[in-house]
Amino acid sequence: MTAHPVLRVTELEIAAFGPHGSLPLVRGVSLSVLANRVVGLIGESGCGKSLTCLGILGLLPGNLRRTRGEVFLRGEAVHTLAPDAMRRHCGRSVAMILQNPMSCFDAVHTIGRHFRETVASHGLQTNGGFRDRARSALHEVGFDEPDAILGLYPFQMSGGMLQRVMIALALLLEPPLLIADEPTTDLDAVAQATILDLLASLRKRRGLGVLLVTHDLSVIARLADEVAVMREGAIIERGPVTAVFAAPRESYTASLLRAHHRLDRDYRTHLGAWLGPAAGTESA
Amino acid sequence: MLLEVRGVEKGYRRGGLFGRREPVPVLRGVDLTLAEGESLGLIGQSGSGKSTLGRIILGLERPDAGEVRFQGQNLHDLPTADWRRARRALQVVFQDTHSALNPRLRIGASIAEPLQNYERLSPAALRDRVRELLALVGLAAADAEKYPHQFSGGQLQRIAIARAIALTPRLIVLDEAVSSLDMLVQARVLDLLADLHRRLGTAYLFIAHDLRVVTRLARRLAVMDAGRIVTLVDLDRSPQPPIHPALQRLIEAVPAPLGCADPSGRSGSA
Amino acid sequence: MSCEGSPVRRGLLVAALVVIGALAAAALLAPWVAPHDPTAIDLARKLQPPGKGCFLGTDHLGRDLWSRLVYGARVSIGTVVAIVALILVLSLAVGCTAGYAGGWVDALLMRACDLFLTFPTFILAMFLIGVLGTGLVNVILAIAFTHWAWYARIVRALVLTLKQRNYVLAARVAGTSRGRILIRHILPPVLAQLAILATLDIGHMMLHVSGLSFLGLGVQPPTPEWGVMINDARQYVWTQPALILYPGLMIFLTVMAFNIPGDHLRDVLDPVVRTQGA
Repeated sequence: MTAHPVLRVTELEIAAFGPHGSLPLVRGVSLSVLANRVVGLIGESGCGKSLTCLGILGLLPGNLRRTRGEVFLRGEAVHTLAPDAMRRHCGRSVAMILQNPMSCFDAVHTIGRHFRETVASHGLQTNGGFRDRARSALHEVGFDEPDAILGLYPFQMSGGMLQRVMIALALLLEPPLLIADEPTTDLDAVAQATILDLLASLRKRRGLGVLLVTHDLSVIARLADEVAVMREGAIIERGPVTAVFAAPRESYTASLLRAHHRLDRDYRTHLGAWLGPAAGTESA
Repeated sequence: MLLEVRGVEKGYRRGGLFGRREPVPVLRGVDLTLAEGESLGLIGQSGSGKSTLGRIILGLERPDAGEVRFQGQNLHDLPTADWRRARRALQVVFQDTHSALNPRLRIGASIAEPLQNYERLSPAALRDRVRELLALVGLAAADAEKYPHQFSGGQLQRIAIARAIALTPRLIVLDEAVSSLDMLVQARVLDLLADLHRRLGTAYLFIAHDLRVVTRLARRLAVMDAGRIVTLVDLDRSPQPPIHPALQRLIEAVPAPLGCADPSGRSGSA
Repeated sequence: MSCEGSPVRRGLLVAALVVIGALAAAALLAPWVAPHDPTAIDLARKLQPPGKGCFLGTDHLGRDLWSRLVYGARVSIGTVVAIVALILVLSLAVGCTAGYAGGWVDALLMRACDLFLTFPTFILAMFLIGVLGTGLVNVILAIAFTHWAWYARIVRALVLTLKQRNYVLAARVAGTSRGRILIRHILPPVLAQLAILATLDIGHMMLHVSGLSFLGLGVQPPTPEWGVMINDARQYVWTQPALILYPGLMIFLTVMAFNIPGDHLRDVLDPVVRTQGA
């Protein structure tokens, strides 16, 4: 029995319009994300993976437009909706977390205020009830003292903490789909590991469908079930993560894997005995 | 010793118009040494103070206590002329590729800036030197006429490296220089840095948060935690247990190799 | 100049530039453009409608309206340019010093700014004019003194932000002297920002000049100036509204004409936008 995909995108195309005509940036991208599955979208900077996410949600900046393609959220077509209706629909069905958590928060408002605004903007109650929901959301993402967090300002928190708050805010409305655009890129190594563990446990606990965008192969390996490799606006290879990583068909994918393995191998050689008996064994 | 840091302390006063609040200590007594031509990694989590230490070593900020001796002289106590002389031997590459270059200047002009400060070169000689530097970092001579926004992140970092090596410094501080770059680009920039290190014999102080990146360039690592250097790792010697918890955290943060059956169940899908 | 946007936007810009060009020409070439002496009184021909020799008619003292408008451009625009120049010099000097030096210098200069900011323009203008007397130069001084502090704060804020940019830090590490850093890295964006603000404020200044002249505190008759012309024509508002209409229209057109390019100036001065498509 195939479940209804939480997200289905067919032949999405995005172009930039300027005085010199139009320039296609995303060409014929098709994806589908099922509940409780993580689909990874990997590629270098500029390949169009972030634009794809913005295009799905109708959040493209000024001179960029979606020229073709259909987007279905839980079976409902959203590509035909007007911007306002799309915003309302997406707000309930999709949560998005971005790369630089600090820039997503308003520096003059406390975290509690952010929670209240998020809830209010989707027409839910903001009286006593919401505080409990905020507290439980913060607890779920690993904060032991949610009340303390609600009173803090964004600048008083580290990047890792803010990213966790962003995840809590994202899940407040219980959406079935989470789009994570380079969620760990701006964090230090230890914070990255924490966030990835958190996303893995959340996905299992809530049965979320996740579209994970990144340039880092280890993030894909850690979280994703399927991977799509993007290059210059198009998806050039896709498949289950283990299959693609073990036997890539495209030379570009192979070069990504080679670079990753080389760095990893060098690291394990250099660090050698310091890694102790738990040092990972060599892979292909 | 090229660089000796002894007992450096630094704190920032928290705001407050009325009343003095306790300053937040960022560096609590740091000691460090770096030999000529050596590559030292300075690694730690965010908030450990590594960037602040980098800025103090570069002379951009003064320590509250302690001293920084560069080429035998106390950097923060030098008279102006000596300070200028010391300056040319100590350069930097920052993390943020986009703000490291003046967006209004052509990159050739940005690269030429250190040369104009220290050397009397004719415009033609200056142009040639810039061309040489661009070639060293793998960019074309024609790129000197372009503006920063016309380049990608990796290319911008190369340009910043070209500027840093212009005066053939004795020490370059690389402050998370590859942290914002994509994996493939990161690998290429690290290769470039390794190559330049071999060719020019410049010492590196490589500040980073990722062990995989640091070990690519450095054989000696200083691990920072909460404003102090808590352990020094010499990768050419065998480890003396116990491994400091800060280092252990950093080791555990490195993802398992792809496709490896890791007992903690961390790699691959659930 | 790259003009993004609809034909309407571009059309407006062209129109604005044409108007500015015409005003500048009128101001510079007044003696040749104006057919008559603007101060020549001829009571026999007062309040004439447009006719031969007098393109727009005459005012209540028989002076040719058109000539007075043209010479008025010289006074109004010349005054405003002088005011803006003075403001820029003062605000750059104070703002850059305060922002770059920091510490007690900054604090001292900012307190001085605060002092000037507390005076409403007209009050200070009246005070200055009371002390120094009426006249064009004093009008310029009065308006400049009441406005420079606002700009100085903006300059200081910009300098404070720019000081922390990585490319400024890199320049320090590269051994660039403080003076050179100021001129090469900090001043250009500050000047660009100021230019945009100044063009937007030119209309504002012009209204002040006209306002002060209207109150009798600025330019004295018979010097032609649009505000003075409106003041003089007050008693004829029902019989000869043209006497108020024309100078008023000139003020309106000038203010509009300077506001529109301010927006476009930002695009011109931003290297990213300028080299788009390269």
